[in-house]
Amino acid sequence: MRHYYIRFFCILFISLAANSCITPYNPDLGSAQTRIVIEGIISTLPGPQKVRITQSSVYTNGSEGTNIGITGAHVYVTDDIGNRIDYMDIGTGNYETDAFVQGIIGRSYQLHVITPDDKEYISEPDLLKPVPQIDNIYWEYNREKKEINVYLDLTDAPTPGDGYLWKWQHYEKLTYCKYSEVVALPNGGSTWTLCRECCTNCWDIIQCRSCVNIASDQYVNGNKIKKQLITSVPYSDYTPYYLLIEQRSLTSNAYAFWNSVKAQTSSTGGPFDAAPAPIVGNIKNIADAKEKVLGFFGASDIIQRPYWQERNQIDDTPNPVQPPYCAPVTGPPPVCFECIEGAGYRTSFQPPGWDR
Amino acid sequence: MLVYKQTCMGQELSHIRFSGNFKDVPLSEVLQSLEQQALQQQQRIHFFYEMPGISAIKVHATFTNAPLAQVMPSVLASTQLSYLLYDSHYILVVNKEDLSSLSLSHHTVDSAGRKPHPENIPSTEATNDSQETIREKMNLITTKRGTKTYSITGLLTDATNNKKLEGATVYVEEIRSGVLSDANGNYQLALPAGTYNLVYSYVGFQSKRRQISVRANQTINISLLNTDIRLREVVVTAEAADRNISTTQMGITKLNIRTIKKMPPLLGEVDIVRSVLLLPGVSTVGEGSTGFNVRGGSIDQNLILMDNAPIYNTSHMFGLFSVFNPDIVRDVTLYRGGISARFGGRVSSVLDIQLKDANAQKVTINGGIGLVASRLAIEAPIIKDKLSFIVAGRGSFTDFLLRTLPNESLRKTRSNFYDVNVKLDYRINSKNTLSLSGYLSDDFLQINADSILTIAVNSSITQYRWGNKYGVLKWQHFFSEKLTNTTSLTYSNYTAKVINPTVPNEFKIPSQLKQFNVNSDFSYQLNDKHKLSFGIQGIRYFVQPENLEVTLPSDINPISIPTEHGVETAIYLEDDFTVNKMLTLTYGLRYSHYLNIGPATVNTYAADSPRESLSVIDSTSYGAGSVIKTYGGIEPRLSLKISLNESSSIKIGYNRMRQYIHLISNTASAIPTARWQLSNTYLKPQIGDQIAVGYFRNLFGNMFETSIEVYYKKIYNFLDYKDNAVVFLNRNIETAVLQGQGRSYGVELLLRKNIGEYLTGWMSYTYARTFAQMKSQIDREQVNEGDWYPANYDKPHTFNLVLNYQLKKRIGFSMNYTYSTGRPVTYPESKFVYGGVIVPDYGLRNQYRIPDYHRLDVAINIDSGYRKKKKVDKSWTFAVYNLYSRNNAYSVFFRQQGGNANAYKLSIFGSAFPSLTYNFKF
Repeated sequence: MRHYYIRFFCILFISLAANSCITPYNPDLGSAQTRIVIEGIISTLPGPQKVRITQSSVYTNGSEGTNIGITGAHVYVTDDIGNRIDYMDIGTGNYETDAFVQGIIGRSYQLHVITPDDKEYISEPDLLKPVPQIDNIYWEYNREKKEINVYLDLTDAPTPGDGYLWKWQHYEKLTYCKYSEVVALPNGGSTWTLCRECCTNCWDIIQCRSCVNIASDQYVNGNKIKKQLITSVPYSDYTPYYLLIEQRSLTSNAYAFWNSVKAQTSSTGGPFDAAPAPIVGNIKNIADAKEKVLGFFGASDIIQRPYWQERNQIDDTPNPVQPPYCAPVTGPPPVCFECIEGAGYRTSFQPPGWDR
Repeated sequence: MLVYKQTCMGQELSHIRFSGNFKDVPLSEVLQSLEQQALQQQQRIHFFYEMPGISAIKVHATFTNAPLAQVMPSVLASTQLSYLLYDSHYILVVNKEDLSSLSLSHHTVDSAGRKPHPENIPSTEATNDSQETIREKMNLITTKRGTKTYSITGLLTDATNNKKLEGATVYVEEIRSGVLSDANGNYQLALPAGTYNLVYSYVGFQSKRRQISVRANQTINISLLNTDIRLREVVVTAEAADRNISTTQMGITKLNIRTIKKMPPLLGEVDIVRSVLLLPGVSTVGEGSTGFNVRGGSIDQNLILMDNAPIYNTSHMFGLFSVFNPDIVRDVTLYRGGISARFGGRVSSVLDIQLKDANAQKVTINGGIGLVASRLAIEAPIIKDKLSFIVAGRGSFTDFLLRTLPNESLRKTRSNFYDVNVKLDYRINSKNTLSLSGYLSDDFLQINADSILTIAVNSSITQYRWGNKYGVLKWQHFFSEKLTNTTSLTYSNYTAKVINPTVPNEFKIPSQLKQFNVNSDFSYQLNDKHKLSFGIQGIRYFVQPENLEVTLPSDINPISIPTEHGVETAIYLEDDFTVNKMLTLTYGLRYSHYLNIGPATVNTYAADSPRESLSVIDSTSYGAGSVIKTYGGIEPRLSLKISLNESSSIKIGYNRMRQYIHLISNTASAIPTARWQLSNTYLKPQIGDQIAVGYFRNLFGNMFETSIEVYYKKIYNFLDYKDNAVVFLNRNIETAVLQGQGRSYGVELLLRKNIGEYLTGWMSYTYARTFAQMKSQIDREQVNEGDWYPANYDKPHTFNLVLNYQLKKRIGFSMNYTYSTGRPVTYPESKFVYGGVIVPDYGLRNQYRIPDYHRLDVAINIDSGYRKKKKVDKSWTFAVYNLYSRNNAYSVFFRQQGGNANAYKLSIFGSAFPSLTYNFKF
């Protein structure tokens, strides 16, 4: 969003001269600092509850180096009434509870991590606050971008210090589970796309992983939070568009953490950006208070609500997305392709509210 | 206000003898020969002549051992040329035709051939009581030396419009010394009985020479003719050519508006703040930023005065342009050291912007049309020579450009500004002058989405509106020739507002800073060695921080932060003491006192925990008017000058300043809605101590000024911010702010050429460092673990070059070049992934630097107003900002793009920006 201001300067004068305001740059960042990163929440959704322990890596362009997990740690969570929940090391830095474990509203949870080199980390207790229901979901059409903006309203609890986080998932029902580029034989001149149907029901899951969509009741405590933008749906078709909208509660500490993450990842380096600063999480090394521990362990109440966005009431022509052209096949159809689930990109489980 | 002693290199032209036998010799060679003959007699004269045609002129002349007064008529006998004597050693050779319009004789100026002008006639006014007193005092002083002195006083004005000339030189050839006129154009000399040649000169004006015989106190009022009108290109003299070596002032630079107007503008806008950035010791965090940093001070440490009223925000369009209309500004003085005891309230500098006096004789209209803004100024007498006014306004026309943008969301961007100055001057009588000055500026900027302040309220557009207002009533009273007083009442009001106009979350966040000032400043010429300045000043502050206002019913809860109150008072006394010809001393003492008064509620924080809202353990309420906290103390000021010889001097300066109002902003550049905060229980006043030493030397008869200044400055209670501090709508601002210490030091080298027919300008190099330290027992109250770290605007090396080249009479060329080290920034030490987001992990503050900055600007000024019969003077300026399209970095930032961590460079003016401006005057 901050882009607009910068572009205001740039664009104001683009009419006068060709200008490129933002260009990639390779600064010399010196040697890397490798720090422990702890990420996890305990939520009211069915288990297993997850924790991930990784390392930070040198800030190079790209994402390499950040997925090196720390295995062999001893991980457990305690609550404010003395319960203890153990996590199992499932490899590559991931730790999970049993599937039945769910967070309980009103309890405070605290994470304990003992790494293989005997460093002990502890998080500040985070209260699992209830999240209110979504009051209503509605939309507006953006003619210029050919997008449908989806908004929601909710009613904040009378207590101050409530934060919210939203995520969305779009499920796209697949006909073909595999597209293969094949070279037409014998002459080998042109390539065709060979399409293989899914063996079972299968959906692609589309979401914005790097989006940080949060709000707080700082200015609206006890009232409605109105017109919260969830996502923009492409107007590519007249068919309805499925969204699974998720609303989470955040404590004021968790909100502050996410707000810093949002501020620093949406920086445009403009004159009116606050100076970048280290993001303070809620985890520390018991023995060494000076060690900088990255990440946050929080507790959230989560509700999910399916929503079908109608796209046949808009007085405009859609911007269709062309599916790959499947090469005509003579003879027996190609063998079907399995719906391979993985890392939240594809599923064979029907999402809630799919059947209307 | 101050009168400075002058020591000039004077010559007695009449003593030089010339010989020659020229037959058909080009005039230029003859004049060169004369210059050389003078040089052989250890005297220096310079001839200046208009370029075209002179080479064709041949001379027939013979003379032996003749003075200049005989030589020149003989040399010029067969030509259409005549000559003028300028200062003591410049000789202008001009067309007779031009000369006739100058109401000056072509003879040496001290002969009786001048056209009589009522004002020019030296008058020996009848003595009155006050003069008697002066004379008595004079007698007392002078009897010691055995010679009786008389006082010569008078007023120096611009002949075309009767405006007073400040800082004009009155030079007495016989004693090789002189004085400068004060802010009201008055000058005062003390001379023993005798006959003297007085030379009156002022930058950009024709000098005048008077022979006077002193036998009694006299008043001699002089009007000087602006060379800009007819003889603009012939010669450019320096303002009191040797002022820089002969006064105690150091760290002070004065820019005439004419100099500023010649610099290449950005997008056609002549900009005072941008010109100030080219002075040594001044830096900025980047182009398009509000304000400027002086010798390691933050932007709120500059006292910016327009017509003596404080201006709290100097920016139009978020810092792109400054709020000062060049059509009404007379000159700009930046005090970065050696600050007079008269000024106080800010730690680092004073930028004193003086406005023109209205033309008291005829109606003048001038204006201009530019790409961004257009201007119009009218000045006229209401009662001729008594009451006159000036109105100057400026407005922007950028909206129509924005409407043409291709992108719908950008088309919603709006930006407008205007400013208006009004000034009324009333010369009641010779002893009283009254002036009323008013100012109003307004800016409106609308941008798509809530893109600057992260107010956690949904909106699609955000509007900003801000503006300065002031009114000044000033009364100048002359008790006697020795004692004058200026008393002023000032009301100043800065307002800024953030507005979200869109349903369903409309709100307004207004803020306001209001103050009333009363100042009474006296100037008393005790004798010819001491000049005293003293006065009393008072400020009443009302600061309304951000208030979140809504139209009920609304889902947004209003937030109201109570108005803060403060009273600042100061008294000062300063003495300009001429010890002897070698040593001059300006020393003074200021005492300032500040009260933070109620109503207010003050929190008490737990002693050993970080100061944050969770650690509040108690709070105390104070009623209206009750004193919450008191600060104050003395502020010594000292500057001294030791003359080494006629062309060089050493100066030493020390000053302490105290500041009770602070700008709270943790962004790279302050937004107009950034909060002003008075000192209170927690926010201590900032105190600055500066010591500076300088060596000043003029070369080639004051043609070149050179100086080297070294300074060291320490700031106590320097402000910085906690990591991720929230300052916006923060009820307890002390939880976001840190106070520690700042220190800066540097060397400033300057080479300036003020005198020259074609080429003028300056070149400066600055080495400057600025560091801050925030140390505390509590870790979260520290920055960089309590170590010293470079401030945001710490730029070690800066080089500036400003040149103005007058190619022909009507065509001038100007350029600026600037180079500086990139500013410090904070870079990530590593990156990590959290919740699918790649997050930069920032390390210690300000440990890296963005790439170095350099830029070249050029401009051509074409003047069509040269012909004297033309009613309308017109001029065109064509300029290119950033000529070689350097893609200078404003910042380097880190963000995720398409699942990858990336680093980017942001440029604000990343390419060349041409512009065209049209100006007129009639």
